[in-house]
Amino acid sequence: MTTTDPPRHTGDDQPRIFAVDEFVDSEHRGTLPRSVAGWLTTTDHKALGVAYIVTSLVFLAIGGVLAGIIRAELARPGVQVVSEQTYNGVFTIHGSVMVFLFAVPFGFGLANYLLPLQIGAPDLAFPRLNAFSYWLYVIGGAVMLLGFLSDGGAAAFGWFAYPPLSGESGSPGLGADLWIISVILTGTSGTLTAVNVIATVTMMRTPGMTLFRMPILTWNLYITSFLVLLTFPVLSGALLMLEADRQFQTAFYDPVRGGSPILWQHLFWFFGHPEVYIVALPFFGVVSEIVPVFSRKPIFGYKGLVLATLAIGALSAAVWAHHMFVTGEVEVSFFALTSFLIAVPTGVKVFNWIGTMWGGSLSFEAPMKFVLGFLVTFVGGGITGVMLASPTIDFHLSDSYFVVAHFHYVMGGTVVFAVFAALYFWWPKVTGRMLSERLASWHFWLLMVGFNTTFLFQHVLGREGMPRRVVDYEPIDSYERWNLVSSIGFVILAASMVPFLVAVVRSLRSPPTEGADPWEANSLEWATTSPPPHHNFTWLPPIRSERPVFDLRWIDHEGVGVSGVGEAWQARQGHDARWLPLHRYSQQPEHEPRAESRPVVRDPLDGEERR
Amino acid sequence: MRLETILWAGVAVYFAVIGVIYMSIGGDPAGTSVLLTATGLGGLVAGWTWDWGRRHGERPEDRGDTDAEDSTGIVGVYPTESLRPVALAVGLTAVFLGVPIGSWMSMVGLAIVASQVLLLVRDLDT
Amino acid sequence: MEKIDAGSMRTPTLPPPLTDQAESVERAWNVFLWIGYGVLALVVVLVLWVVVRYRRRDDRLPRQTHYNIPIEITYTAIPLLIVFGLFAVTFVTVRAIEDLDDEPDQVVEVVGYQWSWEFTYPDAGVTIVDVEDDEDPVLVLPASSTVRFDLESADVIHSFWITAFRFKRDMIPGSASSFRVDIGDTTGWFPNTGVCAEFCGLDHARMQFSVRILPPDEFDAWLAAQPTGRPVTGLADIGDPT
Repeated sequence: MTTTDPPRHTGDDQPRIFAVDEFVDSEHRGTLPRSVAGWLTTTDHKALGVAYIVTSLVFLAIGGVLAGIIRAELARPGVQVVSEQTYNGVFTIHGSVMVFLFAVPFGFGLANYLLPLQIGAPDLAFPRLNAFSYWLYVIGGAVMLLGFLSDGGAAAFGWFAYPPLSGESGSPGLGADLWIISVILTGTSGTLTAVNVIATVTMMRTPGMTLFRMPILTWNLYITSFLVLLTFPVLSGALLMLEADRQFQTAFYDPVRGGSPILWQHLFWFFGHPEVYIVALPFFGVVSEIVPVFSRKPIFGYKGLVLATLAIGALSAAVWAHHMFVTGEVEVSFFALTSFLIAVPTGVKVFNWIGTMWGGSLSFEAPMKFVLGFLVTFVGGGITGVMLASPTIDFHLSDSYFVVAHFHYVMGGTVVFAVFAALYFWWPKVTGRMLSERLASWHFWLLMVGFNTTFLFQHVLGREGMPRRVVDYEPIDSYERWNLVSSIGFVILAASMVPFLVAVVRSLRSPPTEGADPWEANSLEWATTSPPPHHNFTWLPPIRSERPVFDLRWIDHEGVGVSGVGEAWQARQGHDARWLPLHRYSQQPEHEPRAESRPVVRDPLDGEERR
Repeated sequence: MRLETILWAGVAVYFAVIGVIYMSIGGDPAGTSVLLTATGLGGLVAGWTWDWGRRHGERPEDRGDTDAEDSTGIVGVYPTESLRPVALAVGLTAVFLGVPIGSWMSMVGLAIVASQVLLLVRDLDT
Repeated sequence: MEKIDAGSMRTPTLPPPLTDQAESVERAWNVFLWIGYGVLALVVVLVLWVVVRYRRRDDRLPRQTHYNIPIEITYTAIPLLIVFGLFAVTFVTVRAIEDLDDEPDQVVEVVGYQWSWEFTYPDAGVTIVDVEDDEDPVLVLPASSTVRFDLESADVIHSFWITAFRFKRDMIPGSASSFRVDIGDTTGWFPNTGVCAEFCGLDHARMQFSVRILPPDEFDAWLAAQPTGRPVTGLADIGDPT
């Protein structure tokens, strides 16, 4: 289905291009809590969303410092920077922090902030449960790091915590218990957020917002939440059993007393593989939001994308033992087949994104730059993933630096490049300000060079036989060369964060002047002020497609937006030419302390006349 | 609710099928158990959405031709500021940390959790 | 028979494939590598093309194409065919790799422990260990023979990886595991080819072993000459590696 090209510039007799700013009052922007007490007691999804994102970025920095220690140690053969035991704790906590405390919570932060906005809801379904999730996350995360202060140091058994090494005799010491408890707490936090997301998407969409008109990001967060519900409790259960082995002398995983280490691996990886899709899917959603805006075209193949994401979600629950090929105790052909199959819907998504750009009118502001960085890195990582899906290949490459390279490339695409794409894109909505494009360019190019320098040659290291999780390596030519290159790359990667931090500080020092829709975007979060007011909306456009704001912009032009929008718009005009203000109470003073809940009321007609 | 029911029923069917396949060739009781129980996860939500849809019928957001005016009245009831979440999180953390650290901490945690749950029940107004 | 001269530490890091199974892995690897390069090149070219050709030049709104079913089906079907092909390659090769021979020429029992290895030749009653903190143990094997490895772990999970075999197998305490290889004609000394590939604690990075492949008659002679009452250690008992 296609439309003809309308002219852009309008004179008095030309059809109008509508802007959301005409319908919302940018003088009354929303605010975040202003006091410590305010932050401790807030249940507002926007405040919690910001809290999740800021907290996760702090954990990113901590994980980054730990990565720096790893690369400093591995730059040269020999053990120079930290002791062996410390190093083992460093890489364990690096991986755990990055996966459990940065990547997944950042996605939850996006869900918190954006999902209610994108479906026209005033908040998530269960605001207090939402706040509970956030505090469990922060406190649970702190518990993991407290391990560094304990006698035996932080947990040092790798982020998959395989017993017997993670058992009572393998890892005596409080650090291990703290790690286990931390993951149980953050896992519970995630499960409860998933409940919130599913309830919100099911019950709180605004009229006209059918499931197939939801933005792709919302769909992806919905499917992610299903995966969380499926797998986080399994991990929590497995962790409770591990802690019981450690503290109550049970023998779930202790082979000496009849337990099974392989049982842990099945349970862990049943969680662990969907976990990486839980990390990735929100960022696929981010990309699906950004590409259409900067291509000025709708997302190509919306239904195909939804189907592909459903397929990825489904298949991701059936591939787990590809992490166990080298145990010799799993049915390798079943898992090889499912692992190969999951590459297909993932590839379909990549072609859908390219198809969106094809024939479009592309501009390369910061969000789009980072999306392109995502595309290239993620596809690279996906290809090495297909290699590892084959047991034949995996028998050699498993547990080597090839795997380290693979997952950093897929993680790099998603939680590095797409994280920044999301930050640059939604920054104006959350703060009312823009981030500097010039600094963003420096950020992007330094990151591209730094990231690839760090991780590209680790593929070679793995092929050559360097195992992972080693504090040191033999003084062999190629090991020395590529490890040094990788460590130099890390310095560039770390340096790339500086322009970003400068841009953030500069931006926050300037006054909030952005309007509702600075990017000329598509979905409902751009139909309200920047930042949005309490309970989000004082007005909503009619919803007849997945791009309600786009449809509104071109409503006067025949055949650009979808059919039905014009009629809905006309129907509104019939109501005495008055707009439909929503959520009357959102115009009340913000954050009045109240003990009880307050209803949110939608009024069809109000005394106010706004044009 | 038709589409939601179909989606979640699809989840249930998928796990039933893949669970049976894995049961016959996997030789792994752990994986088989989680896959087959996942059928219940899909079925639970599908059952609820089907029942809710049956009792309440079509909603404005299930139709493609509605607008904001079709959902006038009370949209929902949303709790404002509350100390319960952060206090409960502290309490629950203490309960767990008591396991390696000492049961005194779990006792303190349980006391916090219990008091917060009571206050939460008092705060509920729906 | 081809002899590899190890020379100094500056040997090529990845030895040539020493077993039939390893050669099959290398052939499969090449298939995957070149298909991988191809897919990456295709995506990079498409992205570059799109970025250049559809750069914003004016304010006109482009054609708002929402979908194209034939194209979408095509780029679903073709990757599906490719992965089925890759699965076929995998299926065929894996069966050959996982197959256990009923009567191998030689059996080696491997025990992994924190943080080294013990190799036992059960029919000869010979056990090779390492010299603590000094030398890695040496695994001596006969060329042109079928060897079965019986693996077990004494404590935590380890992984027995011989890079020259392009194969590793985890050693999980409480379960024994076996695999078999058909060693080819290449003889020689491979100092960096044996590592532990599953993180096993403090000295995981130090858990290496070397592999020495001898012609079959030399291997028999060597094995017969080893003492049986005590563990055998170090290079001294195996002779000059070069």
